[in-house]
Amino acid sequence: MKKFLLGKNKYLGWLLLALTLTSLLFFPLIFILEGLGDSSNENVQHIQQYLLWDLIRTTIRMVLGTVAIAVVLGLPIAYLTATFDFPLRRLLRTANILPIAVPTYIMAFVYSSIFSVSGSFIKLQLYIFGEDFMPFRIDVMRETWLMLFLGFALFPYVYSACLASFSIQNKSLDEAAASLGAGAWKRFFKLHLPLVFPALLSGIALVTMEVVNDYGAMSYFNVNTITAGIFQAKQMDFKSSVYLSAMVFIGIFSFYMLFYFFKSTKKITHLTTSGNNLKQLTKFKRILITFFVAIPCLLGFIVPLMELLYLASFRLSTLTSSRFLITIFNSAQLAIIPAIIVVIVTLILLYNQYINKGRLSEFLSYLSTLGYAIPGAIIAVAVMAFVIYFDSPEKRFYHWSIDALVLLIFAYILRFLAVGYHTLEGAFLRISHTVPDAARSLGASPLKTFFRISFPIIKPAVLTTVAVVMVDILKELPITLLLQRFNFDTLATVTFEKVKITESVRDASPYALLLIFVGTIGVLLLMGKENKG
Amino acid sequence: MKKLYIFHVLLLTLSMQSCFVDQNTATNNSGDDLPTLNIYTDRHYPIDDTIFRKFEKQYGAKINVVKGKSEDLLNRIDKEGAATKADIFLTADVGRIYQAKQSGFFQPMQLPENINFVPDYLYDEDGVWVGITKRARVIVHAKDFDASNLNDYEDLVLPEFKGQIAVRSKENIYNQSLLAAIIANNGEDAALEWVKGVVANMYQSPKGNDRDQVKAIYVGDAKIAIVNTYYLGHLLTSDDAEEVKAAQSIQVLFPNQSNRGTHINVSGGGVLQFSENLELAEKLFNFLLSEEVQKLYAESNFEFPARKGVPSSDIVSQWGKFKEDDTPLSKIGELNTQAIKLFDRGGWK
Repeated sequence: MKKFLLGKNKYLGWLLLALTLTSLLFFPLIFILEGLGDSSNENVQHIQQYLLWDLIRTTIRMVLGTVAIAVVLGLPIAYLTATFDFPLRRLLRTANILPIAVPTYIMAFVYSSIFSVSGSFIKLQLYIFGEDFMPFRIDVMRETWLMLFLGFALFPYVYSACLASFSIQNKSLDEAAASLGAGAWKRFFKLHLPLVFPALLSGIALVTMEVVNDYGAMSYFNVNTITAGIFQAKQMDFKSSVYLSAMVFIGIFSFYMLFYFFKSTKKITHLTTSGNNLKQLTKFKRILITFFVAIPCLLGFIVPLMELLYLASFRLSTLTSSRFLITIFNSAQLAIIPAIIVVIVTLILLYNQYINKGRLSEFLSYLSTLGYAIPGAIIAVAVMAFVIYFDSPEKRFYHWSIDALVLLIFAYILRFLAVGYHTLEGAFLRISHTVPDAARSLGASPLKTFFRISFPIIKPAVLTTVAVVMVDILKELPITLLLQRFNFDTLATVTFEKVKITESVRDASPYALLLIFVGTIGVLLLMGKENKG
Repeated sequence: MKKLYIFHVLLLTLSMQSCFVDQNTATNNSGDDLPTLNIYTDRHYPIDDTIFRKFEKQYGAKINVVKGKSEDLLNRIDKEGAATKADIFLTADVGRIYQAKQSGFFQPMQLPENINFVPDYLYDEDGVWVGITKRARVIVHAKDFDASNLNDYEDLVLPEFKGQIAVRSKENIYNQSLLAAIIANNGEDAALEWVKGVVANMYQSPKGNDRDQVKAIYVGDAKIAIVNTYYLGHLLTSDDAEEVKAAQSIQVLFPNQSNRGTHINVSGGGVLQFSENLELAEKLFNFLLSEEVQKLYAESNFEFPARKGVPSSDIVSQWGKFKEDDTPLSKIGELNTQAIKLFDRGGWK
């Protein structure tokens, strides 16, 4: 048993470190269960009686619809980009990641603004066909359209996971299959798709969690998912949401554990890589592929960006206001610190998994990524309750941690560790462990081996991970709103304020634009490093 | 070289972090002689900042603000308990104010001198919260629409308005307060019938915000909408010509003028239970109700001043004077949860 848990190598120091970190990340979540004592609450009973089924059905519908769109957009382009050579391939390879910088709520608001009565879609028609033209209107304020818009924002999760997986597939397998007479489509479905399946699944998991967590877009379209249910419970009595949150937590946790056992039995390792030679095609096909691969980033990035630029052109004065500048600075510094910590924690967990090959280490890593599955608002309350519970009566530590943004940063880490973990895991699994193994057998300590050998190999991926986590934090809203300190704005909170309170996408546009810009710059800078690496 | 670069980035961010902490502690009680008020607010308007700066100047005080959603802020006040740093809770809806009072979050304050100029249904009978500004939930209709049978909220259920009403979701706090007012005046059964009747007359399942409801009339999808005067003001002064046209295409109708009056909601708040700055907080509420500040609210935010005798902005005044429903707002706050439940029972999404 002991051997099963600890594995062959007993680097207890590393194991204890991983155990401590995981406990620190998991323990606050237990405070969500506080709410279970409140089941007799009549507001909760009301929600169960009148809404619960509808909320669950809507959530499932939204998840399935958005996942379908994210897969349709993300999977084929990942395959095409990894397999074929076509014009603008390198550019599009990066460009299709960029929609990740557009928060779902901004995507939904921008697209509904484009198609609104006073929106660009109508204005463009009037401009082209003259003022007397009876413009053609599309009512996009529908559930199905929302799935599409969320898909535009979320497909990069599927795309990036699958791209990495397609890229490391053994090309000789494909050649063998082709020489045996299997056509391109057959090879895709019978050979490549099964191999990419684990990566696809983790992409889908990320999309699912994003959809469940979204509040802003759903509320505007009045699509009531379980998150809307929690919000209504809060409206009826801010305390009655805690019971529902506890139920949601138990549901997610059970599902998460099931997924763990399912995942670990189905693990496919395919670490063999061969030369990354891309296939050549006829000119016509190449151009066709370029066109096809460009569609997702056009819809998910270029179109919303153009619309926001247009809207922001009416708010140029905002750009020079001091509030604007302070807000940019706040957001940037608030995003980078937790992103770096997330990566450090991820590296410790992964490295522990590698040197202590036991099931326990693997489980610890899995458990510490649970936070991503739990809606941000629930995490924020749990973290607050956790710190206050252990603090002195004067709550000095709590106040310090709010003022120094430590609590906020901690909550970000808790929530976004999964993003860091999933992004880095692929790179970490891909590196060959023969060299570090040899170094350690020659007497080098694990720490030294890590810094001298493992880290330099995965450094490019580390930078990408910092970028991806940073972008997620920049977009984050519910945790930021709950744990902010006095006199503090971020790009996300101001964007929300303008869209929701003033109901003006135009007022929000400079902030939304900057939010996307900062994210984009982060992704480009760090991805550029990865490409070079 | 690269290592050095990463090290520098780390160092820079950490030092930025620490300078932020310094700046922040300076704005709080410690290390600063200025008397300080900490406010949790769900009013996200630039005018509030302007007014707070004025107060700071006039009283030599410092005001710190956390802006968030009411439900979150209440949760935070609850969790922080006696250790909270917040002195004042402000919000833009009486339902949340009532929840704060019911949870025992407020302490009684000496009602400000200026309260004498405020109608008594706009503040709490126990003196724990006061209203600062008002908004009216009005009916608007297309200018070319025959609205001769449309006088009261209750008329919205008439079969002749089938498929013509645009209104937003039950999640909207102003809809919740409107229904609470109908429960207060007509009773629960009648209110449920009203919900069902309006649902039957909606042109589509509720979506979007108040601005969208007005635009639905502008393009002819709907003929009638229930909206907040605050957003009408914003539409009329928008720099988007289409939005102005949309606002000009509708006629404002103040409902229930021959009986109880049009439903209004308040922005307001109170002093939190564990605040040690009661006196300064009272000064702030008195200041917010002063003629000067009330004028500022009216002119720049399209709200109705709570103080009698202060004129509304020109934009708002053009819709004419109207009779307000003087049901005590504390009663309306109390019925908020019941209103949400009635929406669910009546099928209002």
